[in-house]
Amino acid sequence: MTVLWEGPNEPPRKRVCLSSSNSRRNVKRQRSTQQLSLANASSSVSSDCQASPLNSGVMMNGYGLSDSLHHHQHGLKNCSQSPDEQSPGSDSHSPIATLCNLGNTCFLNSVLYTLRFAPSFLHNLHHLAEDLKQYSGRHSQLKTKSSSLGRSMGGTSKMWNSSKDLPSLGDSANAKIQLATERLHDLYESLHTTEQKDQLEAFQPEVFLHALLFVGVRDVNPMFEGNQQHDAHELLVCLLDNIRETCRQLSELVAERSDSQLQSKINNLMNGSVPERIESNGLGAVTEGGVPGAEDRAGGGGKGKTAAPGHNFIAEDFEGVTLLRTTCVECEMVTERKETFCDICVPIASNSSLNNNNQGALSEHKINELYREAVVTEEYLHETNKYWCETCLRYNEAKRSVRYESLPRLLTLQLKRFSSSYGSVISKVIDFMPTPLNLSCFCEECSHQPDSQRKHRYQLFGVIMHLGATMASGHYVAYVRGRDAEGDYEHCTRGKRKTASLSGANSKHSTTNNEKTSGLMRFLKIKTNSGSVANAVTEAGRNQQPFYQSCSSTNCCGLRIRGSDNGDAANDYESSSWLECDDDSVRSVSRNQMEEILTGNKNSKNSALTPYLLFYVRSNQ
Amino acid sequence: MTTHKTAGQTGRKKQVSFVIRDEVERQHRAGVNSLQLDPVTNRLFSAGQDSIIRTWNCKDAKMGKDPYIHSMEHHTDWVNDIVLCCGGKNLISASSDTTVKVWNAHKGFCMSTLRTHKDYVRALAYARDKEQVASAGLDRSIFLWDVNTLTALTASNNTVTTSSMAGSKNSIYSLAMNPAGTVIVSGSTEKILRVWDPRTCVKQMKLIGHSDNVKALVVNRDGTLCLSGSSDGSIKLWSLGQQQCIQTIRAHHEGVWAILATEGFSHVISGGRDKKVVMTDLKNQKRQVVICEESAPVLKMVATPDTSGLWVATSDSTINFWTIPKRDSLTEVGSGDEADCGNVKPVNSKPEATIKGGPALRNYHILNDKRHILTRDTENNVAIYDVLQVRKEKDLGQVDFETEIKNRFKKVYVPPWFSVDLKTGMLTINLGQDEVDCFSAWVSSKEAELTLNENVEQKVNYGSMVLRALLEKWWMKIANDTNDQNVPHGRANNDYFKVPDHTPLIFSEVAGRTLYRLLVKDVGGDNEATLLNETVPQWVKDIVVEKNMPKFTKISFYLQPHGTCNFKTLKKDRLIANDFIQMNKVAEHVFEKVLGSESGSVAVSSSPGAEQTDDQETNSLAEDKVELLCSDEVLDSNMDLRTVKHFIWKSPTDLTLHFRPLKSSQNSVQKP
Repeated sequence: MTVLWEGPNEPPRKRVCLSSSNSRRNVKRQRSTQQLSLANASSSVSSDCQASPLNSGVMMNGYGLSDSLHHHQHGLKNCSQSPDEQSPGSDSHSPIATLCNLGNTCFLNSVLYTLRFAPSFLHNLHHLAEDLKQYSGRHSQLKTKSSSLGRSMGGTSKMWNSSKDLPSLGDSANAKIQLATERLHDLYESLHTTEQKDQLEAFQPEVFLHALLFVGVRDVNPMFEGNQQHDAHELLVCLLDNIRETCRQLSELVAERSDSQLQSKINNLMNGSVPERIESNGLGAVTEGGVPGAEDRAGGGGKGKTAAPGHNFIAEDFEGVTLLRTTCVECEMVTERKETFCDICVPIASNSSLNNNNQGALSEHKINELYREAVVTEEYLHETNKYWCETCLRYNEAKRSVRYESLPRLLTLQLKRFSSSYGSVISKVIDFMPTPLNLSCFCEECSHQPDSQRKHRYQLFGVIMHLGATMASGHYVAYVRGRDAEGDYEHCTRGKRKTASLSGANSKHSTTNNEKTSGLMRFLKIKTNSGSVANAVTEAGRNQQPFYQSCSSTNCCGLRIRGSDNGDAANDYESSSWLECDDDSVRSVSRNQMEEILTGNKNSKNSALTPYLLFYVRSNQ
Repeated sequence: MTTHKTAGQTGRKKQVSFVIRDEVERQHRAGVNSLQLDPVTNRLFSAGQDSIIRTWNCKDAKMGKDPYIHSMEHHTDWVNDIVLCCGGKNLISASSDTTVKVWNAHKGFCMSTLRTHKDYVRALAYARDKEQVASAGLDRSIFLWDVNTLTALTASNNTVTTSSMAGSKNSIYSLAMNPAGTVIVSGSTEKILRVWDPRTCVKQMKLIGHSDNVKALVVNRDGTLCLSGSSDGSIKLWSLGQQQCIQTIRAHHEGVWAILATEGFSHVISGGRDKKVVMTDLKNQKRQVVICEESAPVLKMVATPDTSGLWVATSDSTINFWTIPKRDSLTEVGSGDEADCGNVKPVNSKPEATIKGGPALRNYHILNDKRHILTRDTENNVAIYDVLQVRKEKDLGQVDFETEIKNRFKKVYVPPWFSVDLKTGMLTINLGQDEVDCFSAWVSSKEAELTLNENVEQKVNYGSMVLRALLEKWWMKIANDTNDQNVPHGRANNDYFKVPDHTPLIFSEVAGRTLYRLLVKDVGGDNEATLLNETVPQWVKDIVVEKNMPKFTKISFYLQPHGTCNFKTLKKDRLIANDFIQMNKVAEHVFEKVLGSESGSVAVSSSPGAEQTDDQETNSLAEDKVELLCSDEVLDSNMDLRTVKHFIWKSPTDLTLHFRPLKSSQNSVQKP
């Protein structure tokens, strides 16, 4: 659990934000005066800030490091124009839209970046937003603000002033939650739009929708009021909670209307997607479902649910189950209790266990052991803390162990960097803890297998690092794997497709429509993509193989990093580079650099930049 | 009885407990943890979870007669292990009450108590040739005692030195020594066996191999071999010379909790959680036989010297005697795999002899009058106990427990003033000042259904009544000794009942060690009185010796006119009153003070002891004129304030009562 210390009576001012480029800060400041007061007038620190840990690398939003203060407004510097500035291993050419800092909102930004790059997250969020629109029966309204704001706002933005404008799923509390979720989607949509735009236009960090989202989040979770720094982990929990709650509300609503005509009509529109659900495992992409046994059920009734509106993808993707097992030492009766969790808090290993190998970095195997031991624990209840045994009807010693029955597809680890002393001051634990790029699964099933035979493997896809000496101040930076998310959208049977109306009322098995729809999709794809994916589509279309269709949500809020290899998402990971997302600065980082940061030893110069939240995605072996 | 004094009292709070039981409990209640056999007198000693060590006549048991000889009672918690020393003259016992006691085995009385352990004492070991006993427990310490010194302890000569084996990292669950006392082995939750030389207390070795707790150990005569039984289900034979395991035997598929070896370590007999007793040939461990299958997990076994028979103690209170099959009748059991022993039939289907045990109380329910307790035992018998009179009121037989609870429900609230403990299978009542205040239950004597001298409305305090009754002989002795005229002679306040003389009275630290145990009939003795003066906590002396009255519990509440009546009052009256005042008193207050005039908040209090009855008229008048409501429910005039708060108001916030005038004469006021 996170407890934050909120400084006594300090005027709300922007905290020290040590960011990668000073010049950018000033740039932003100038621009912000023209905008609404959503962004705080920054009184940022110009004092010596640490140079970015990564001195090389191209800034993904187009700002070259050599840009001076005066030239920033003149266009986007396309990475491809200055290949010599690129860091080795970075071969992405597409710019990444960025988020500006609204005033100590780096905690928000780092989480937003991470979620954006979380496999399948955008896809699922998109469908949730779409379904919401469907069921709350509202229309998309385009309310544009005055032009001073609206430069980066495309025609697809949707804005609402307040939750009252919104015909929603229920009372106003529900509406607020729903609104926050929708704004999240809107934001991602806007980022996507920004990225798609003609690259000659000026490219600004996302402000307006970003700020709207923040307002929406604060509405639902008042703890984020004020201008102080907050805990990124708490925000992550809140955002996911909001989405989960929205899913729940939606599915309740859907259940209510399940008999109505509307439902059947929508079914037609959705082209029979509800009953059919095809297991997408073909290309080795990550399978869905962190629910125990989900992988075992190939197709079948259970899978039909995943396509249903209001499907709780947060639970499926982020939740796991712990098993608390208590054994009375006297009578040896075993009692078990299961609990779901959304993230695992990992205590920082003491220096002694890390010092075993004085030779610098620990081996990956050792690092995995470290994590395993921190997380799968066993303790004795004894002395003054004995266990009340129901069988013996007395206090006895007991052995209590924490195991993991199932781990979620998207596994979040929170390093326990806060230590509370007896006062109210929370101090940060800066001790170094290596971060494995590959984490071996420690669920019960895998624990009993030797490493080579384990079913699951986890790969790091994001890290949120905290820079600073105490938890009460500092800066968050997100590092995410720059991977093409194409694989996330394959085999999607949900969502309205523009092709649906063309194929008419044919709601049977869609394989018959394959040729027609795939042809159309091929057309669409060619327009927006470099074409490598389209080829595969054509192939599939010809073979009439498993229903292969990429979801149209890629055109709405999807993530594109062109130029990365097509094919196995698994292979992708090995070769893809990382992105350092530091508020409105996104730059690429090579895999080697990343490795050095994560698994290097304490002598690295970045000892104040500590990994805090680790994000892993599961792949099956 | 001599005590080995501890170094001063700890700062922990103390509590007073008593056990409601028969004078003689001839049968074990709850499981039997340990056994010792005296072949000379043919007596069996058994250590019970009911805190009692009993002596049995083996011959009588085998002949089907009642084998009970006597009980050794002094422990207040499970007796975990016993050892017979000095040729059967003395018995040493180890208990979860953290003490080790020395007994005269023939007569059955406690000679001394050793208080060096800080947690449950779980195991004993005996070196016969040296008359040395070692004790070990959950406090990770091992103490070595010289039995002759122990048995020579007297009141004046009450210090004894002990050496200890240091180095254990975890709680110790088993201990063994060879007869010569050259080797001592301990087993613990650390899963490794630790070995010392008890002569020098020097660590010798660690034996690693088990994957779970070790609860049974045997060392051979010359200290070269050791057998261990573990909760991982395996039995291991260790060579102490080679410092390693030389054989692993699988005879059970659950934890092995008891083992014994035959002469020369030729065979091992093991028993455990799977309730089976198995004999295995150590030379060829495929030769195995299941001696018997018990009705409950096996805790301990002792064999007759000629290994013809086996006494088996289990978590059930009955002790059985089984015939051990001849060695050559052992057959090969498959591959010796544990999977196979599940299918093997036991050689014996019936025990040769039985020492019948009694049922243990397993469930209890305190009735709302906070005086009667419904209990259910392991044989499903239901009974009612009276805590106030310290006796079992009635056996209800094998009726349905839940139904009885429902049938005896009364809508009355008395604050909790005691807690119940069933760890010994008998009803132990704890009185304290810690979480539950034992003086919080003030009840009208009428409600308590106690005979009165005068026909007067009197309030009695359950806690003080019980304590005074238990310690009667003590405070009377003090009064007589001091010839204190101020202290009322005779049994002024406590005329109501007497408490059984045989009731054990226990003084202990809350959730901690026992300080003193004695019977009610002995509290007046000279020695006892002296010890009591030191041990009895002040809050007890206050009430019992100094005869002060405990305080009343007060409840604050708001009194307002009910919405339906027209009476308007500007003030929001916040009153405070004793929790036992009845609604008719409140009605009276309303009638006189509020309806009469608009006076402010008045503390409605009543004095302890007898109250005058002259305002009974006003009472009945008030009842006719005013009715009281809470949460819109009309309140019975005899209902007291705390009952209203608990059953009707139910919220932790301040209670609010409403009043409204009754239409007189036309409505018949119901007086229940």
